[in-house]
Amino acid sequence: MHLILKLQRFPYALLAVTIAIGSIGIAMLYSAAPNAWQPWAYDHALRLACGTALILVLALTDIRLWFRTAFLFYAIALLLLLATLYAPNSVSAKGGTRWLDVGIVVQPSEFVKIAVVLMLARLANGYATRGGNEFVFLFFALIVIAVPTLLILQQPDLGTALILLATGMVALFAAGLRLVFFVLGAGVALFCVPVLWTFLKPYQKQRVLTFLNSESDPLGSSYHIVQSKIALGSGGVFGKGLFQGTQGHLNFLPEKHTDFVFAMFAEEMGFFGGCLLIGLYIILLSLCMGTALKTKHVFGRVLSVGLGATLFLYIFVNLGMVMNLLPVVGVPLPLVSYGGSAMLTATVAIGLVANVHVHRTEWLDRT
Amino acid sequence: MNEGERSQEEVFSRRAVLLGGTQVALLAALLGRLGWLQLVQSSHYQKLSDRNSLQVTLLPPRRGRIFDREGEILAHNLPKYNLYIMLDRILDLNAVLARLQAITPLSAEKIEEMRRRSLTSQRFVPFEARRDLSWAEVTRIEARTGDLRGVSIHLGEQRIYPYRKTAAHIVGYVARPSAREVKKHALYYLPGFIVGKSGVERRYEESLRGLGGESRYEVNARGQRVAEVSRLTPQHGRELWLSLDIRLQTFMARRLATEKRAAAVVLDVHTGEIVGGVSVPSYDPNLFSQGIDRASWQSLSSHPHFPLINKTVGGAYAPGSVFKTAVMLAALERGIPTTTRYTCRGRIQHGRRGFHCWKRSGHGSLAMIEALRESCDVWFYRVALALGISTINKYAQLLGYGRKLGLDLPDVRSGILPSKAWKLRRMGQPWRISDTLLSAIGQGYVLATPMQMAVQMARLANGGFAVEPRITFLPDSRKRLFATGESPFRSLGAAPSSLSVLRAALDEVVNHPRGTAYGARIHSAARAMAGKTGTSQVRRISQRERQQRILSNAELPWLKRDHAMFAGYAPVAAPQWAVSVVVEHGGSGARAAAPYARDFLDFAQKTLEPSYRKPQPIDNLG
Repeated sequence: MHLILKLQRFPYALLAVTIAIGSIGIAMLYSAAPNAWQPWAYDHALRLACGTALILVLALTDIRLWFRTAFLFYAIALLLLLATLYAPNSVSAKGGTRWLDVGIVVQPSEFVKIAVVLMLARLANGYATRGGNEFVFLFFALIVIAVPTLLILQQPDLGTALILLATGMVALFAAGLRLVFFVLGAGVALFCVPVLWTFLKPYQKQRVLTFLNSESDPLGSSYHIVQSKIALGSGGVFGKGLFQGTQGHLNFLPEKHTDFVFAMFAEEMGFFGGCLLIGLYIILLSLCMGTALKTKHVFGRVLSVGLGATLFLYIFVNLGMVMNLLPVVGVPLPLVSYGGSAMLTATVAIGLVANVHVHRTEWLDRT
Repeated sequence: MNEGERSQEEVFSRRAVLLGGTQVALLAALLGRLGWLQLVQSSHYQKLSDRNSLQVTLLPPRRGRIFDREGEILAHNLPKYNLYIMLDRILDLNAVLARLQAITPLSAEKIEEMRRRSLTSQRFVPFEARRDLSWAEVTRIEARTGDLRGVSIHLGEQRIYPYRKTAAHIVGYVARPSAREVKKHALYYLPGFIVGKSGVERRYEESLRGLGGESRYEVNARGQRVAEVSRLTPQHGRELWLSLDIRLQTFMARRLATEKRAAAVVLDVHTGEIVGGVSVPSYDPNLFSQGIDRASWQSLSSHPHFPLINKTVGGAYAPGSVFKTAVMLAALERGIPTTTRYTCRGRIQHGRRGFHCWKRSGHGSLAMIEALRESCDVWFYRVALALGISTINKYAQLLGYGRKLGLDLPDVRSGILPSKAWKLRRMGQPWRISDTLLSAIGQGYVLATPMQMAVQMARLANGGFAVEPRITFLPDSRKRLFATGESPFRSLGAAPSSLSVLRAALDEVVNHPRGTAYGARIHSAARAMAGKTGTSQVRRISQRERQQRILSNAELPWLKRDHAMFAGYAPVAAPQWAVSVVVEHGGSGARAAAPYARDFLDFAQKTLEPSYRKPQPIDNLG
């Protein structure tokens, strides 16, 4: 495909929404500093710029490259996960070993999600075009999902593991797997909940319990949630004004530059701002879904639905946590939370969706 | 496209729309939740947010100082750094105390108290661990605020009474509000805030206290102040000027210092302004402002001579013969001629009971003025029988007996003016003639405060006006009435002739060689004193003792001895100052009380400048 054609087909709306959301992130990290470019806002702006470039580059590469190297990426991601668990240069913090120091500190579980979606899309494409056995497809697909999920549980990082699992399920659903398997899967999952509970670490149990009764212990484990709700609630309709939130600026709000950045945003910009940001996310997700619907090949469909689902799960779990609808799990808000790995994952996911969009009418059948 | 592909595409489209719809629906639910928090519950969380980040500190007003009539300071404040511990904010009390002990010593008693309080609801009340820190201690504690959380230093003020015991009963003292008082005023919760507990400190509490201000400031999550948001400056307490003259007060206190229990008042007969008021024994009010220790409190409250009671207004005594002044006013007003003579043979018989005169040999035949001068009991028994108790009471009341005087001091007693109704109510017994006889000589049930006795003299001396005593200056607006009418106080309605006879009699009591207080007269004619002595019995003299020999005071145990009293005024020609002196168990009024009264009036006339002086008629000046 000619470059000019690719540029014509490029989803500029997707890029615009990405930059808009990322800019809100810059403003919030500036406010969190408080009101300074260091230590977060400057980095975030730089990463957003790199991410934007990355989206463009990814979109313009040939989709066949990703189609062919899906397995390779998957293998690399798994190796990185293993390295996180066992290599000497892994970094532990907050009750888990989730980071790997390779000159810069990275979080391999972030990349695994994309690799799994790529791998599943590849498998689904093969299954659909060659009409293979559904059980064989399901068998391989489950292995693709289960291996990294179990590795992440070892870290241990329940939140990410569940998100990965859910992403995989969405990808399988998009791939056209019969509904009966999902019903069966749900049944097994329900059966497993009490069993899994006994495997949870005490702090994980505490988090779930905290979620169930958040205001019982304002200085204890649910301090995050109480302060987050105060930040949100005190924002009111139009907020306390940009750069003027008290909960964030006076440090009552913990993790205000990472997981709880939305609480700070909603405190400063109010319900109005919250609607704006969630609206932008809805546009972002709709664009992903729109790409999927316009795409003629299964690889692209599953890829954009799966990556859209990854983004959605990040957004939903993060916002649900901040608003005290879900337990506190360390999940960043895509494009807004501070963090290099999170920014890289989000922009790679968007870049791949853009790639699918550019190549939506390509014919993919063989490796 | 073949069939399979089309149906596959349809399935995908359906599922994609379903997934997309689910995502949008879930995000919409989040928006709903956000709306609930930010729109519906906003005000609730706004409050919580303010509570997080805004703190309000009350700024205490400075307590008003107290001055005497010449501007001498009777009470002022000294800044002090005091150490407070907020027990409710401390997790590990022992650790904090250990760190604190390294900087400043804390008494074992205080530590014990803290341990006890930290377990009860009293932990929410800031605890005063140390008073009056040195500057070095203050800086060392301030430098370690990080690991001394819950420990704070307050700049408090200590009330200082430079004249110590001299005017304690009038000025009063201050202390921490009691548990019950604390609820009355937000300021009282402030650590170290003090409140007037007695004297004018209590009576003028509102005005001396002033109004608190407040500072609202922003704090961060570590409790550090970030910025002051608003400030309301406190309105300091008003300065209080008393009519008291500390020179006279000091003189009076020194003169009476040798007595066990005594009280004395000097006041201005025209304005009612108290210039001296002493109650013996006294106490040092500074003890209370430093937070009185248990031992000192015990010794004050269980002291046999009641140092905490202001006996000038809170002590009630049988006025004895001082009360005859009121009986004589009643006689004069009821038209009984001054020439009326009764013969005293030392006693009269009423029913089966004999009523004695203090002079057992009898006074012989006496006219009215002579009877008062020599304080003949029999003459007053007789006149009382003629007048009846209700007439006597009516005039006694006019002179201030039997009711609370309108006085700006706390804990004022009304005394007792017994009547028929009073006795029936209190004793359940009918009034008897013998009760009238006892009332006539200020014994029996009659009780009066030293203040009432002084006021009686002031009302007779100022020309018959119902002056009310006060410890602050009579306002100029009321003094102006002196110029237009006779007095800002209502007239007693007594005939001028009655008053002049009475005053002539009071003059003779002191200045006539046969007067009971002749020995205590002021020799200078210009400053001459008039008045009435009183010696009131505190025990009943039995029939047997009368038959054998009445024991003299010196033979009796101190508590059984007579109260000595004197009430009077000076100068005789143009009265300015009224006085009353009570010496408990002092014996004879003429010997134990009148000399004090003489000295006080003499000192007042020589030293004091009255706030109002009645203009003298021209012809009297020559």
